[in-house]
Amino acid sequence: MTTLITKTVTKICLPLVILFSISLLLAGHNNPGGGFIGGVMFASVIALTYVAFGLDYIKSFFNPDWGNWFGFGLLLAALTAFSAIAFSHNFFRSAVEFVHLPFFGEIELVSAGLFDIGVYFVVIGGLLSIFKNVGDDE
Amino acid sequence: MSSMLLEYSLIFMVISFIPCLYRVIKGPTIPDRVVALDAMTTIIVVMLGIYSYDQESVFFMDVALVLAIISFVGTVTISKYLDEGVVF
Repeated sequence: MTTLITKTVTKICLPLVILFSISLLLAGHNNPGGGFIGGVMFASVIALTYVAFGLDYIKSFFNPDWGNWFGFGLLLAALTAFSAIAFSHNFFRSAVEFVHLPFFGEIELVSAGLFDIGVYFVVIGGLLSIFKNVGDDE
Repeated sequence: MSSMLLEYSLIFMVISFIPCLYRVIKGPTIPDRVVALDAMTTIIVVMLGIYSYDQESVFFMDVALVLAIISFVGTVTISKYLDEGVVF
């Protein structure tokens, strides 16, 4: 049984860390960040809620199948890697596009970002399915 | 001038690792080691903040934030394991 302090800190941390993980995911490829560390942040904060509130209580209202996330991420990353062949380029070739958005200025869009999103889902799915299945076992 | 002060503060933070390392290696019980490791991680976070000011680069702040979150989650998990014997 965890204390009230841990539960309150967990409630405050949860949205902030999820936003920080998405910001790390989008900052990747040119700045520090990327799919792996963003996925680790997301998985660690979900694991913190599992620890603070108990696995059974969290599973009673929030119980996604993390293995599906793993499969979706792996499929997205593999399709991104193979789609360069369809445009008669080399395997894993990344496409670059500069777009101009209001309020944000010039933004560099790369297709390696899709690969990073795939890595993000692979890391979240792998870590959290391990946590849930190991923690569930009596 | 301010750069010299920052370097002195970094030197003193490295010196403050020594009691933490003593407690990690020698510590009679496991909670002593956990608290000492948590203190070491906090010192590293503060060192990264000062170093990012010294190098005039904001990229070390990301490292400090990630390290602080990972250290917090790890300490909470180990504390619950030591207290109850189960993690989840």
